[in-house]
Amino acid sequence: MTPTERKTLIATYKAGYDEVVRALAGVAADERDWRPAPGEWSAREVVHHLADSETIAGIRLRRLLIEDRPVIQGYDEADYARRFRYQERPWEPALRAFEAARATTAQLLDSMTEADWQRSGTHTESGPYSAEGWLRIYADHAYVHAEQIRKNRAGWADRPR
Amino acid sequence: MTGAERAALIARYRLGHGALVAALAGATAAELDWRPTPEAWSARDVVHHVEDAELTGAVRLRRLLTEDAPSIPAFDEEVYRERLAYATRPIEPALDAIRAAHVTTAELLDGLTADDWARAGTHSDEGPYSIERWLAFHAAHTQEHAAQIRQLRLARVGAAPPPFEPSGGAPELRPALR
Repeated sequence: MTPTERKTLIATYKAGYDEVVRALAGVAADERDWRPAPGEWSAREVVHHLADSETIAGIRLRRLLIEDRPVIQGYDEADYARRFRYQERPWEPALRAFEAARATTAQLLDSMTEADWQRSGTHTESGPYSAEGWLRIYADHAYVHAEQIRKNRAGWADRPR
Repeated sequence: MTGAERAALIARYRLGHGALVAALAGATAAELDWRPTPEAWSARDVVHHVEDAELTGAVRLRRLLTEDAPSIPAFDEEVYRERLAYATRPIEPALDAIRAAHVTTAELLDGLTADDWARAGTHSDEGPYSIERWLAFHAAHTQEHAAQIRQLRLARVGAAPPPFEPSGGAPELRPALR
C-alpha cells in the first residue's frame, strides 16, 4: 500500500462516524427498533455493534503496535448482540463509544511510521493480520453499516401495515 | 463477593470518569505536561494510560462473558506510554472514550447473572482471572489515577511531595493493569 492510499483510507475511516450519524438522521423510535427479518439487526443493534466493534478494533491496533506478533481473537458478533442485549440497551452511550474510540485510534493512525504499518499478528479465524489489513477493514466498516441502516429505514417505510 | 459488594464496586466504577474530570478541572497545558522527574508520568500521560487500560478492560470483560476460559494477554503500560506517544496527544478524546467505555460496560455489569459472575479466564502473567477480579481492579483504577493527578498538581506547586515514585519506588501504591 502506498502512503497516498493509506492517507485516503485514514480519511475514509475518520469520516465513518459522520456517515453513520447521517444514516440515522431523524430516525423514529419504532423505526430504530424495527428488524427487517427475524435474526437481522435493527438500527439500534447496528449502533451497539459499531460501539463494540470500534472498541475491539482500537485495542487490536494498539496490540499490533505494542506486541510482537499478537494473536488477535475473533469474536461472534451475533452472539455479542444477544448476550449484551443490544436491542434493549439505550443507544446514545453506544454512539458516543463508537465516536470516541474512533477519535483516539485516528490519532494513532496519523503518526504511524512505515515500520508500524508493516507490523502484523495472527487472527484466530482469518490468519495473517497486518496493520494495513486492519486499516482496509475498518475504513470500510462504518459505511457498510450506514448502508444497512439506510436499507432498514427504507424497509420500515415500505413495511406492510 | 456478595451482591451488595458487587453493587458497591459497580457504583465506584461508574464514578471513575467524574473523579478524573474533577481532578483535571482548570488544568493548564503546563500542568498537564509537568512531571516530577524525567521518567515519571505527567497528568497527560495518566489520562492516555487510563483510556488504554479502560478500553482494554472493556474488551476483556466482553471476552470473559462470551468465550470459554479466554486467554488474556498482558498489558505493558510503559511500552504503551512510549510507543503511543502519550506525551503529545490531546486528552479530550481520551476522556470521552473513558466515559463511553464505562457507561456501556456498566450496562453490561448491571445485567450479569449468577452464571456470568462465575466465569473466568487465564491471564498470561497473572494466572486465573475472574470477572470479580476484573471488577475489583477496574472499580479502583480510574479513581486511583484521579488521585495521582491531584497529587501531581499539588506537587508541581510545592504543596505536596511527588507521589507515586518512579520505577524502583513503591509500585504496589499504584494500581497497574497487567
